[in-house]
Amino acid sequence: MTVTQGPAGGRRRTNVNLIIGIVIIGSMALVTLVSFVYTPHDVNAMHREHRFEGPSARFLLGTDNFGRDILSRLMYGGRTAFYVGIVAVGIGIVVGTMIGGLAGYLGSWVDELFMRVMDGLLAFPGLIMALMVIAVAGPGTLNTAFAIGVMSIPGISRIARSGFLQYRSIEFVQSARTIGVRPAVIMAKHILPNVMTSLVIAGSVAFAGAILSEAGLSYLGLGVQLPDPSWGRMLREAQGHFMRTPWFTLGPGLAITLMVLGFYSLSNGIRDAIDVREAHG
Amino acid sequence: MSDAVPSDAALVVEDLRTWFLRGDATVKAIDGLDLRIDRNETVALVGESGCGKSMTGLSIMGLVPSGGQIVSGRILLDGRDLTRLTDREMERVRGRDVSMVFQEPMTSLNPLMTIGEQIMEVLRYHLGHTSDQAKRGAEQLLSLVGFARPRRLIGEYPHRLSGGMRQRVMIAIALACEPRLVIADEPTTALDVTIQAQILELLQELSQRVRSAILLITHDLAVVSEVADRVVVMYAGQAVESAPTDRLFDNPCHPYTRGLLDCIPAIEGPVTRLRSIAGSVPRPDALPPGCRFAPRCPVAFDRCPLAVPRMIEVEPEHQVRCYLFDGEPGSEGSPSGDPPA
Repeated sequence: MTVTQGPAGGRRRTNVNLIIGIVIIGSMALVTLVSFVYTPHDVNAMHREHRFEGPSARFLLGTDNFGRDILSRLMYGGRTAFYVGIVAVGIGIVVGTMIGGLAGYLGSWVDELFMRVMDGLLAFPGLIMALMVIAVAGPGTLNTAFAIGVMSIPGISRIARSGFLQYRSIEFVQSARTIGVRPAVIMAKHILPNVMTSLVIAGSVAFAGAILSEAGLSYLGLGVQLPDPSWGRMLREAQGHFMRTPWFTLGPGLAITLMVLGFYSLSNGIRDAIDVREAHG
Repeated sequence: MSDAVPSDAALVVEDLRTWFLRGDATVKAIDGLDLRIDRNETVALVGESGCGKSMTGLSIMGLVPSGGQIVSGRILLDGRDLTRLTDREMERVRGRDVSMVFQEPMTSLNPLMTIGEQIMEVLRYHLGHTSDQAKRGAEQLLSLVGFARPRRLIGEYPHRLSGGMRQRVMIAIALACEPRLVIADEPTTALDVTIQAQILELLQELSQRVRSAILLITHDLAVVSEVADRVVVMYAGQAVESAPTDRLFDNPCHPYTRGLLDCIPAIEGPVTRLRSIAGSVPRPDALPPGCRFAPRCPVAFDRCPLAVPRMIEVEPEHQVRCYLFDGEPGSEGSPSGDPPA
């Protein structure tokens, strides 16, 4: 708590995590947005005479086994990463908050029922769960996002539960009850905003996890399907040619690493920012 | 305990029992409480921590924590039995007919909602005010509780206010709908001594204006002597003595009440050690048989542990639950005198 506070003068230490997170995620998002209007080359255009090339003025990050421009494909793949992340985290936050919120606020058997179901979900290794969903629903970008979202529900619901549990008996919630506010309104209007910060942090961590999971599933050939470019899929294609052209693996590997690092930094940064605020009252 | 409720009673509680049933143990937080508060009256409910005084407030509000329930008794607010209302009906009663001021002003306002929003909420909810009406209402209420610039305050968040100011806001919210009864649960305990009197005065003055009765829950006898018309002393879930404030201080009858009053250090006279009552409150899941105070009572005798004594009228409007007065109303409550055999 006090780690981020400066000496007696009260000067705050710069929140490095927050800055790193915002810069990385911001630039990734920007590059992805640019891909809608401009990529250096057509994403699927093959330049046969330029297969397995290293970086050059024409192909900034080199070309792949079909002579496609890696940078263009990475930019395009960012869309997939963000799409999967947003859908998955959206599902996780909305469903997880509802389940955890009801469990924490109502307590008793609702809590017991919901949390035991969540424990059951948690007992499955996440990837196996996702494989199961994909086996039933079939591969594809949306299904992958859905599967990853379901995976993130138990963790987020636990965070939501502890938040709602903490605020359920606090006095301003009691006092809202004494003026006759309905339980649903108390949950949505009085407690949720107070729990929001920890949910944002959880969402940010879940985003990093979602990108990693998507890359993993696509790497296994189960996630995003051709022709949608995905970083995990690119990594899979690259591994066969690693000895011949290490450049090919570097691009997608770096993109995944940066994105995950960025979201972890962001979540740490948000947490630090809140801690400082709380420590200062 | 007749059905005919006098028309000037704002609240009548009859034989209330709020129990927590936990497996094999039954925790009797409130066990046969009778209480009556007239319109415009301030009644203080006094007792040690754990005697059930806060639970009484929550029972009246219909907000007994999960695990507990009102197993018997009636709570008549203006003649209407609150224990028979549905949840939905009770939501309409809370805040409009009964409201509550809490002990801890630092946490009783939502830190993420503006002062205005929190006052407007109750106006919109119960009086059906539109946003504009509610905003005007909130401004009026804020100036009523003594804020000089209500318009500016409406957009402020609670962290900008001191404890006393927040308690004023809480009072504004509690009195917004001019309820029949305001329950104030230790409203001044968390405040500076200098502010306490102001807040109590404000609460009383405004309640008088809107003809609300006050149930003041406290352990602070100084507060009681200042504002209460009548005092009910509670011990282990039961009322043990009930009297007009002056008479209780002049002529305390129950040994427990005497003990409480003895604990107040006197300003005049020789400096002595602070007195306390030996022992502690019995656990509500292991109440002694008979009189609940008997194990701690300095004047207990053979009859005390046998059965719970009934409330005995020692003088008009002054009742006490003690065998010392049973059958001998004229004994003037001298517990050191010869106890009846």
